Amino acid sequence: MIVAWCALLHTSFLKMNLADLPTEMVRCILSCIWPEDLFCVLTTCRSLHDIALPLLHACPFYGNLTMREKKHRPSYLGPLGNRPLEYQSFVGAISRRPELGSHIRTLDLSDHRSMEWNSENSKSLSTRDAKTLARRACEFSQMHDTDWFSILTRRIPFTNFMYIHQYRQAFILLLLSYCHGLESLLVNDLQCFQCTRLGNYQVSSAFGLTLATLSNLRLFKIGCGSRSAESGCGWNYPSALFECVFTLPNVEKLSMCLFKPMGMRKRRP
Amino acid sequence: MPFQTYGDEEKKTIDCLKGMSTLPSVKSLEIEQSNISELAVGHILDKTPCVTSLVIWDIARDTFPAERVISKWLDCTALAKNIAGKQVPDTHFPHPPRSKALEHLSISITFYDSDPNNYEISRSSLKLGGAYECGRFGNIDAPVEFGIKGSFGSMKNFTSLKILEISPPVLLGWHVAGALPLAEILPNSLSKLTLLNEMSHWVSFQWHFETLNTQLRAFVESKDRGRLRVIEYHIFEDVFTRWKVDISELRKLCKTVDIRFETVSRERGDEEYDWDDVYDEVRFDNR
Repeated sequence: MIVAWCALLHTSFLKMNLADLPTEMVRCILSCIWPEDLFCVLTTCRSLHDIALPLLHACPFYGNLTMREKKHRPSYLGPLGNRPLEYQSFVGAISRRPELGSHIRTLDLSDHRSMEWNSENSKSLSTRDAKTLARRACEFSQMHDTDWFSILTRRIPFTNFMYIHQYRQAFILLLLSYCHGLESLLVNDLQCFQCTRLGNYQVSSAFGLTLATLSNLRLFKIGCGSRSAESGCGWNYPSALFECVFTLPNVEKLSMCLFKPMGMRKRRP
Repeated sequence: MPFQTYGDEEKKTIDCLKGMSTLPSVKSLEIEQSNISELAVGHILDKTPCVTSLVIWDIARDTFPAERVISKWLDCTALAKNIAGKQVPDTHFPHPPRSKALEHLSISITFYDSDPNNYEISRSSLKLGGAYECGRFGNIDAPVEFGIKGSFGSMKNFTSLKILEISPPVLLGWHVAGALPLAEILPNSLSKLTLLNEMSHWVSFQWHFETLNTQLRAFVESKDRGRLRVIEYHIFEDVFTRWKVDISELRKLCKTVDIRFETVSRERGDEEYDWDDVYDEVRFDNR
């Protein structure tokens, strides 16, 4: 009897199509596969596309990939880390399709790419002078094919540009403004920190990105980037960091690397 | 950037923290690589009253003999007191006192030299296991004192603590003489004890394995070992190979009372070795 029942079950299982499985089960299966394969699944049919798309965007940056993984990662998958061009390309894609931003659950911006952003291609935007600000904003717009300036001004009031000190911050802010379902945010240097501080500033000043953007945040980790290591012991007591962190309403796991002085040993593995 | 004195910065931080809203959602808090004061730790924890996992990794003190930066001493007694917290009735967020709520506690300390001129010297000294000591640095005429003061002392009031990661000097005090037995310190709820090694390369370090072995044996043989199931011992690789530590007896003793004794060999936190492999190498050298 049991054998017959098993045989029947086996036959019906063989006839079963992947699409016949409950959506939750398919999502669970797809969450276990690599982004490369996920991209292939995405292109098969509409139903799988709808399930795979949020998964593909759930964690768009892979700062912790090994060299081997980076090497074997297909170029069509988009950004690897925080390299300026890759980053801008991704933010550009999200700004064209804002609905994709709501799928982003984890933003790992902890890759050490700040030096590339600090190169001559990334001039400082720091100024409080309106004329200089306008000139810099025009430069910013001309430097890139995409009309970033118009995108930025659409998302963030122009008057608040004075709080953006680096292009990277502008891009991070822009990206954050699309991530309404963000659950984990990992940043790794003072620039990002200043950016998150901007997020705090917005709470009281209707900056565009409101606290609601980060209301789903469960994990917030701020590391210590190369810049703070170079600046030695300058960043001793970051009261401003506390001002930012203690406004995140639902965060459950908080990790703060406050300061990385010269001469200190490496962080734990 | 102008440097501010320790007192000013601490006051600024504490004033800032006092003005912050409480975050009852935070269950896990990690503070890494910070020179935050013992008092400020308490204030941060006051604002995160529901924390059950607390990791304070690489709490830093600057040994550079200047008035510009921070205290050169870490007061372990004060740190323990601030972590345990005071029982303050809170009508907005009713919660048990911190000492009763904490399930995971991890603490490690680092001393560094912020003077760029001393940077290379201090690194090479560390590699040789040489010049740095807890309590003294510099020449005889103008010694610079730094290090740890006091100890965590009894943790019996941490009634929910399951995992404790700490180095022996922080838990028991810098000096072996007068240290309390582990059975009088560790809470009965503890299931995993990790003994870290971040200060074991200092010349005046007293808690080498031979010394600690006596403490651990007494603890394992006592009836007050509670629910302890795992002891993990981080051993400094240089010390390990130099003195050819034999842990087999202790491991056997632990096994008889159903406690797993594990070792992790780690050199200055950079690399991790499999203890058995290193031990095999030592034995091979002895043949």
